[in-house]
Amino acid sequence: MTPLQIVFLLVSIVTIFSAILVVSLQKIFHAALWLIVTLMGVAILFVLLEASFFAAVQILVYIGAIAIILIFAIMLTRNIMSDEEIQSNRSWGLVLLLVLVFAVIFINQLSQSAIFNSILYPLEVQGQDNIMAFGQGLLDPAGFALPFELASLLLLAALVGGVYLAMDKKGGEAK
Amino acid sequence: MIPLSWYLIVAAVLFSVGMFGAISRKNAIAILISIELMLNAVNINILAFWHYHSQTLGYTDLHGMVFAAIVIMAAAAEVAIGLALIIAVYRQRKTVVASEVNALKG
Repeated sequence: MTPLQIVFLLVSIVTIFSAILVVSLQKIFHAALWLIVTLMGVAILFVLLEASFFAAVQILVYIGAIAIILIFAIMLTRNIMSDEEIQSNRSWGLVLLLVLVFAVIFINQLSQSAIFNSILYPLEVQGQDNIMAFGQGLLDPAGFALPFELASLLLLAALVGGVYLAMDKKGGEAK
Repeated sequence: MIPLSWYLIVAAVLFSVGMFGAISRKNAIAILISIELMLNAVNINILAFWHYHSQTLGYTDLHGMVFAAIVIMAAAAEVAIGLALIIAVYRQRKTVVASEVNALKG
């Protein structure tokens, strides 16, 4: 057991434990707070994978933006579904069984793969060269410039669509 | 020196937990939260394979990084639109329970 492996095991246990709380807690607001712990654990896994750019993006985009607007939406709709109400379907036991079967089959199939037992070594690329190569690739017309521009178009469409959907049409230009 | 299999197993478990939440929750916002968990599990998988591929190539593979970035971007757009829809439904019908939104039911 190297120190890195111990860190990995601790982080993954915390991540999975908080993920289970996210999907099972009765109070939806607490579930959203545990979601932040899960997202932080995933960010640490990205650091262990040497994807430092994605660890930063995970914290900025997921914890900074997505978790916050989820909490906003929960607070806006809170009085409708009280916390005492049962939060899951009647058939959640069947769903649990099916998901367990799915997980067993999934991991079993993964373990058939030839590269399943290979070890990840530290990358030979030095310093921040990963991020430099990524940035140059995104702006390279022969590389990924088109997906990059399409991504900005999709985000713009999501922005306009979100404003349009959430706009109060009856009130018009109310204040 | 962490085996690739550890990342894959953690991602598979996280995906299954998210899938359980997405199917069994009643509140539409909780369903969105569970979908976020599933997308995160997918990103762990993508970046683990990216690391493996980069270490066998000897240089940085860009495809995996771009793939992960596109997933994060799609997740952000999905949450924005999903929450706008939920707020719009909440305004009209005063509910956030997914099974009570049944205007199209025959």
